[in-house]
Amino acid sequence: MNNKRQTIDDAMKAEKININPYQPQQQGNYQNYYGYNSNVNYRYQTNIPTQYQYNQYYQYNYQGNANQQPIMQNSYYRSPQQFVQQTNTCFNQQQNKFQAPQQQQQQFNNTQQPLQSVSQQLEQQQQSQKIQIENNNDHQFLPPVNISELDQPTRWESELKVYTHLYRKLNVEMPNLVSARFCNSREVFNEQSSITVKQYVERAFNKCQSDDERNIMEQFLKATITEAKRKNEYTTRDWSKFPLPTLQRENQIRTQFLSSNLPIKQSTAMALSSLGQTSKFGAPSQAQPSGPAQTSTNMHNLKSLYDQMIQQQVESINQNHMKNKKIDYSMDLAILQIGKLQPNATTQIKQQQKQLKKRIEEEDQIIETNMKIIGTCEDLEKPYFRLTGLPDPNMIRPEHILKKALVQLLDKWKNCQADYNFIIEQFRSIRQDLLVQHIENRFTVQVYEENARICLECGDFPRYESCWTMLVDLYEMISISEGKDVNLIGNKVEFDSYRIFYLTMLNKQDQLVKILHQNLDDQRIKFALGLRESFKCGNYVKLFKDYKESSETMGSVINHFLVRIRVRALKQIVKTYISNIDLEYLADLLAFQDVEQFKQFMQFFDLVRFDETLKFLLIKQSINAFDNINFDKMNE
Amino acid sequence: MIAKKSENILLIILRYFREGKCLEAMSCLKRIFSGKEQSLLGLDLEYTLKQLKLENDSEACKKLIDYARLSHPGWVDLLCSLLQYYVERERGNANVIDHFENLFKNTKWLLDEQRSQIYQFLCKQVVTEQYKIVQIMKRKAKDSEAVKRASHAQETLESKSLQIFQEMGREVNIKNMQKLKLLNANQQMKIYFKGFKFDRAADCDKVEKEQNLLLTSPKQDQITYHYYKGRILIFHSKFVDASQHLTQVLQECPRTQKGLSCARQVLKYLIPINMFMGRYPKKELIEQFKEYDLLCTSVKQGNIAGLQEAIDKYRSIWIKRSLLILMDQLKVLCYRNLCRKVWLINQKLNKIYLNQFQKAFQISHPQNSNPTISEVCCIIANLIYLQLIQGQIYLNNVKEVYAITLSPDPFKNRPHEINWQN
Repeated sequence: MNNKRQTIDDAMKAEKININPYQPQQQGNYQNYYGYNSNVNYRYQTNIPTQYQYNQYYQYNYQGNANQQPIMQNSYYRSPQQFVQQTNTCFNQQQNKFQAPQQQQQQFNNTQQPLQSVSQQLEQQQQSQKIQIENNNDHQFLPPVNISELDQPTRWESELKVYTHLYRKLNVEMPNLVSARFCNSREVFNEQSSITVKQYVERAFNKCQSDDERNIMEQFLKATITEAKRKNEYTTRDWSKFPLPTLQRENQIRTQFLSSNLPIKQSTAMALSSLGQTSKFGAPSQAQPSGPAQTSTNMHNLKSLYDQMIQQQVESINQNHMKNKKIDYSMDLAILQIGKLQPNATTQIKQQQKQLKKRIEEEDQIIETNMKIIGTCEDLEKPYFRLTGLPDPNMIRPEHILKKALVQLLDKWKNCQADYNFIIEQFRSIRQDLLVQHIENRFTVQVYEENARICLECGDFPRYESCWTMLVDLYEMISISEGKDVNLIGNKVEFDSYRIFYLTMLNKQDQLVKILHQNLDDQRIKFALGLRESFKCGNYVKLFKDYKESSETMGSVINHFLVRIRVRALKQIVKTYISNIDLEYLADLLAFQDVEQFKQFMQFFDLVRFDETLKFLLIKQSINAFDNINFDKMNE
Repeated sequence: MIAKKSENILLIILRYFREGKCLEAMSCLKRIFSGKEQSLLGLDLEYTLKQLKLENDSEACKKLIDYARLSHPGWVDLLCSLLQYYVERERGNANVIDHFENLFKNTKWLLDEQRSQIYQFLCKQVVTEQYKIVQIMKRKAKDSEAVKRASHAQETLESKSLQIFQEMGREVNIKNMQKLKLLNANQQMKIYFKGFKFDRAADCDKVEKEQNLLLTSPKQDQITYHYYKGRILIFHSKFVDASQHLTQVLQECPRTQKGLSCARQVLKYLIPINMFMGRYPKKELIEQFKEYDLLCTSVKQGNIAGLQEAIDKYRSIWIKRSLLILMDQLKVLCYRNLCRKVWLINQKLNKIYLNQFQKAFQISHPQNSNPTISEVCCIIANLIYLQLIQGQIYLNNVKEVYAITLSPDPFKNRPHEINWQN
């Protein structure tokens, strides 16, 4: 190995290649692959066993000598104990390859620098206390990776090129640069990256044999990790159990394995990826040893295998959850993605993907037909339970029973035989039954509308919001399927008019525009817009006049915002009038039933002052009464 | 077949790609997207695709494509998916959506300096194509089922194109292509605007997060951004800022036909907003926008009945331009101008009786013939509260004295300076 090192150095000199453009040439040294300068005299150098010297996890491997050497608290790494337990075979293998040349180089460096300086540093180190170490942390005890330089891809690429060139010239096997680069990359690993991810990456790289494979693996790992980050599963995913990507080489082995008529594999992933592989036989570029007769038998075997798999899956789905299946397929697709990175195979893999997608759709249909549930329960009232597993048909009511249940429920509500909580719970269970049986028709609209109406009447706006979002979807869906105008379905216009007033009160203008676009001319919409106009123009006389004339539900919607409107009006009055105002006049203006009710209302606000006879509102004394009122809390 | 029609547009585009002539290639692509290349429909689709994918018999064509494929492998794929998409679109098939997605999703490789123009072009094409697909599908539809499918396709296309842009945006962020960031955000805003999801559109505003983005982006993207930003600000009643943004757009509009149509679009929003700043349109401008004639004059004169008429008469237009919610604020403005007239008629007295205002409201709005004193009180209180009038109301129910005392210059506050959100 030493000889090789020399030859590489010689070769470099002969080719006059300066590997590191970031350092002056006269020093004659360069940063190694891990990105830190071997020329710097790390203080632990003499004490460390050589096999750990350039391991990036050196701090933790070296923990046993903590008495002699203070452990550095480096924020880039995880808790030490976990790392000691873990054996990173991948890196140790690389290490063995690297050791000799680096040792050599180190000696080379040491000879250049006077040995005295090293011994001086050692003495200093023995004398120095922890505080000093903390102070000098940046200079002497560099973190093994300089982050700012690492993320410059150009440097890595140039280095890689030079090294591949040199190693090829010398007929020496190239050390695993790709995986080393990947593991140092800050794009992929940051301070939060857990050890399990690193372990996962190491396992993946251990599998690779050639540099091509490592390149592919690197790209795949980057994709998976960024995907995990995007889905926010990065910290939560169990990386130790997450399957490793399959390489092309392994795929081929597996196909041969399967084609020799062996028993069915457990995982669907394998079988399906092998299915994809068989499609390659048709392509002329692929040099497969199998003849035409063999392929047909292969296909036959695989087809029967596939049928069995479907059966197995349907069973397992019925037993467990539907989710498992989808995860399996998404993994298959992910595995196929690796192949996509390889040249000359893109079209074939696209075909494979298409086939896979088709299969998934077909299976979805099978499941849907199996999953269609028609309930048999005949109770008109049923308590609501949140579903945790597959629904039981005995517990679910069919549509005609639900219709009866709705009528009964509405009767109870109108005759005041049930309280709000009971009604809402019943509605929930009706909605659940509808959802489970995939009933989406006018009856569904009716259920949601009645639910929304009751929520509005009781001022339960969060529930109203959820009903509304569902209603919007239902209206559109039904209008498309029936081919009718959206406004004609259910009581859409009526609910739109409530929505207009509701949004006006919450001051959400941008959402309002969309509703206005769908309704051109309707009396109810115009009424709501009139309310909006008088609210915006401060014409409370007209607003309360309209309020008295409004329909039942609209009236109750306004009811819930009455406090908001009245407080706003009072705030304006207090700020703009200079004379004391007669309470009777105010009570009349703000549509209170009598003065007493108005007085009760005013008692909520501490800062409001009346005169001794309780006949007038003292404007000047109560000018700040309504300043600090939060409208959002006023509703309750 | 491709060799026979050797001047086939696909081959021409390939040649341009190979020679690095992006602009020429783009003009050819434009022709295809605009549906002018009907000759492509005559081609045998499968056969042509095969040929494009390097399985051609003729020697010359093979050479050309071979070379193109080796040097720019992405181009061939792009052309293939474009051809497939084009044929499906012109036939009005439902599976055009898949091809649509396929065409615009594989554009990562276009993200570098030389090819970014093509990328930009494709970006801008996404939204327009979306509507073209629905249009053609509806035109070709033979039964009600097909019409239903077409209107359903609109939604899926919308969500698909949003997906495409999000993916593109991620890619642009990774490669840090500063110039393309604003374009991406603008296109997303465009989709949201078309679907009236203005609250969502406001979330796409990346300029507020990245200060330099506006300056480093190309001019055309800046202008598009200003337009959308101005429109969003209208909904938040920030008229000064909105007017600034929209005026900037108006100034940059070129004197071409396209530029003039842009200017018209901007003026539709700028005219009502500028009324808040006290700028009313001139006669020449009003002649082009007849619908604003009555509106502007009534607001200026304080003619409530006229304003109401203008609102009702052109109701569908205001709804179409999403300006109907602005009308309430225009009404407040109208009240203010009316009150100012009363003040001027009373020779700028600092104490005016409320029945004077009552009379004015009566004259101004004949339908509501009998506004009570308390109604007038409320309206004026609102104006004072909004600080459009500086003054106070004096009310004595016992002695039946209703008056308004005004500070020396009660109307000094301009309508755009006040906080409309109060």
